[in-house]
Amino acid sequence: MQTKFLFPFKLKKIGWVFICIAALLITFFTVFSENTFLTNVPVFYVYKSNNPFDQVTLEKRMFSTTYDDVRFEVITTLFVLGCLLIGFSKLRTEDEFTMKLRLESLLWAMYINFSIFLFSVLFIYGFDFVMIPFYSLLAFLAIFILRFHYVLYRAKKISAYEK
Amino acid sequence: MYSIEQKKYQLMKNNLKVERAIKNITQEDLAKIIGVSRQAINAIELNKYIPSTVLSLKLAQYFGKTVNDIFTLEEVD
Repeated sequence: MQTKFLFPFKLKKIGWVFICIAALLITFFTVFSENTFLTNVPVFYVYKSNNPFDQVTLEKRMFSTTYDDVRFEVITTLFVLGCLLIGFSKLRTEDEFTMKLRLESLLWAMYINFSIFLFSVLFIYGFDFVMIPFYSLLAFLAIFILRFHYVLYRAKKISAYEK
Repeated sequence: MYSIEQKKYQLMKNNLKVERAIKNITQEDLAKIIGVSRQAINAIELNKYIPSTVLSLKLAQYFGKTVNDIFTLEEVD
């Protein structure tokens, strides 16, 4: 059955590998917090804003290079790519039914995620709030994948009883 | 489709299970022949999933019947 806009089945495994590497890196950076691995890497930027806490004005705001802590960039990239590959790769037997489950899960994830988001908008205050839209974006993918694989598992389990 | 006063609506039912029993074929084998997942066949039989027109036609073709013979609209209170 034809399904557009999905990655090939093989890429799904690579997605899991990405997630595993991201998890290992998070563990590594948490356990060895004094390690300076990836904390001072030259990076190219399109735009860089001033740090609000120091008074030094940047010479070049656009298109230049700087040294930065890229742990955050590496982990986020791995996580997002991994989630996209896991959620949007073809299954071993991809068909219109599994596509329906996938799209339903997306809708479901959107509702749940925005409920949590609205809750945090209304009830979380202070500086920590700036991180919430970011986490909300990542949680969307995570909720989608969890829900999708849960309904797939349930569908498999039900059909296992029938002959 | 919907009528609030009558409180009746139409559901799509099918006798895929019966047809499968007549041909003596498992869900797994039927799924492989048609080219869908086993879960899809199961969901259709349980009336949890309404197949696309293409899939309905393929199923009807396999059983040598028309789509109307396999899939029917039934009124439910």
